[in-house]
Amino acid sequence: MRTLATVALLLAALLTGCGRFQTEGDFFFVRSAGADLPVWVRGNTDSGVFMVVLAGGPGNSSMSYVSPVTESLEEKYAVVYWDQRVTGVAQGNPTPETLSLGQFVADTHAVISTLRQRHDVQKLFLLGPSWGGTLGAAYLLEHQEGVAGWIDLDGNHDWQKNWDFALDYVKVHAERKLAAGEEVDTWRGVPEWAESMKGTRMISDNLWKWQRLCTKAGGYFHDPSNSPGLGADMLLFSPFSMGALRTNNGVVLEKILSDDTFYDALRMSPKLSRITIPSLVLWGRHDGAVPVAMAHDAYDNLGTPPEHKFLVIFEKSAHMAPFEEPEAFLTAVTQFIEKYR
Amino acid sequence: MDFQLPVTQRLALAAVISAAALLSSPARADESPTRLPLTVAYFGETLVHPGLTVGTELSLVRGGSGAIVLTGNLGGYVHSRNHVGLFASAEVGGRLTAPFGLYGELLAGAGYLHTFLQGPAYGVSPDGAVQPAADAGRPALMPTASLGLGWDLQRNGVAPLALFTRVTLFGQFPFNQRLLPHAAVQLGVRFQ
Repeated sequence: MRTLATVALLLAALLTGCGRFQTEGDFFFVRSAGADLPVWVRGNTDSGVFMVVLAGGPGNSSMSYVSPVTESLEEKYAVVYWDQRVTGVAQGNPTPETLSLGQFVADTHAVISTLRQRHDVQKLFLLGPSWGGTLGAAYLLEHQEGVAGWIDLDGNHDWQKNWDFALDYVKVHAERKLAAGEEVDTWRGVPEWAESMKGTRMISDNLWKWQRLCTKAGGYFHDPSNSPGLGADMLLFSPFSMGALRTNNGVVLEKILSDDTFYDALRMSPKLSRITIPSLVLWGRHDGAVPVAMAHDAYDNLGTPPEHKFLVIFEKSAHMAPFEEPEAFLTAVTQFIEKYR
Repeated sequence: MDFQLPVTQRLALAAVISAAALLSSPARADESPTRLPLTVAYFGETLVHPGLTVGTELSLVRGGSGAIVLTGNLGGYVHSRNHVGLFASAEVGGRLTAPFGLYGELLAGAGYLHTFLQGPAYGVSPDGAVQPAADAGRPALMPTASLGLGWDLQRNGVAPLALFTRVTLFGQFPFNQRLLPHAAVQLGVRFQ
C-alpha cells in the first residue's frame, strides 16, 4: 500500500510538475563574485526571527538539512537554507581564486544583506554544523553586529587542532577493537599510523584514509540507522541536483588542502575570544569527525560572558545530532532562541 | 505550478518552437519533394524537470536494416528553482531497425547550452546595497550521448511516423570550472 501511495505521489508530482520544494517559501539567488548562491527561506517569517543555516562539508547542500527537526523550528521561526559557492547546488563559474575564507565570509554577508532586504529580520541567529561552524566562526570574527546568537554544532573552528583530536579518535577506537580481537584486519596498524600523523599537516592522502576509518568507527553516525538519506521529493522535485552535488563535492576541500593561506586561516582558536555574542555550543559525545574535545575548545575560548554561553553534549550522538537526537536538539535550540529573540 | 518564465526565456522557447515549425514545413513546388522529418519530444531533465525538444534528422548512410543518422535539435527545459536550459545540438550515430519496425539507436554529439537562473537574482555592491541582478544566462558546451528505442510505424505502413524514447546524458561545461553531468529522458514522435 505504501509503495502504491509512493508511486501515486510520484506520478502526481510528475504530472503537475510541482512539489513542496518548488512551491514553498521564498526562493532567490544571490550573485556574488562569479557564483550564483541559491537561498531558500522557509517557515514562520512573520516571527521576525530568522535562523540562517551554514551548511557543512564543505560541499553539502543546505537543502539536505530540511528534516522533521528543522520543520519543527520552521513552525516558530524562519529557517534560511543556502548553498555556498561551489558547494551543494550553487551555480556559476567562479574562478579558483575566489575559493578563500574571505570570499566565503563575503558571500555569507551578501546572503544576509539580501535576506534583510527581502524580509523583516528582527533577530538573526546562525546555525553552523561542522564546516558551517568553521564558516560561522570566520563570519562572526568579521560581522557580529546584528547577530542575536551563534549556534555552533560540531563546528571545526581550528582545522589543525581538530586533526590531532580526530586522529586520536580513530586511534582509541582501533586500540579498543584490537584489544577485543574484533575486526583485527581492519584496525591492525591504525594506532601506530594515527600516532605518526599527529602534528603533521592534513593532506588528501591522510585525510581520506582517516575519513574511511572514522566512518567505520561510527564517527559520523553513532547509530547508522539514524542516517536519513535523501527522499524522492528532494531528489526529483526540488532545486536539488545530484549531478551538481557530485560535481561540487570536494572542490573546496581540495582547495583548502592545497592552499596554505586558506588552510592557515582555518586556525581560529586563538581568535575566538573576539566573539562575544550569546553562543550555544552543541556537540555529539561520539563525534569522530570533530571530536568533543573541540566543543570544550570552542566553549572555553569564546569571548562570550559565561552567563551567555552554553554547552550541551548529546550523549547518543556522533556528528549528526539533529538526526540522532532530534528532540534534544530541538529543545536546546528552541530554548536558546527564545532566550535571546 | 511554479512555472513563471521571464520574458526572455519565453521568447527563446517560442523561437525553438518556431524553428521546428519551419523545419517541418513542406518543400516548395520547385524544390525536391523530399522533406526533412520532424521530431518532437518531451525532454525531461532528470525525467521530471519538463522540457521540449524539436529537431530533424538526415540518413547519411542507409543499408538493409542499418542506418547512420545525423540529428539536429533545439530544445529547452525548466529545472524549477534551479535553472532553465536552452540548447541547440547535433548528434550522429547508428540505428538498427527490425523488419517489423522496432529499432534501437546509439547517438553522440555536442551542442550549445545556455542556462538562466530559475528565480530572482540579487547582487550586493561593495557599499552593501542590494539590487536585482540582471541574468543574461551562462553559456556552456554541451556534449551529449543518447541511447534510444523506437518503433517505426512506417515500416508496416501503419502511419508515417515513429515513436521513440531516448535516455540522454549531456554535460554542461564550464560549471564551477568543471563538467556538470545531466541526464534526461525523451519521449517523442518523429513525423516522416
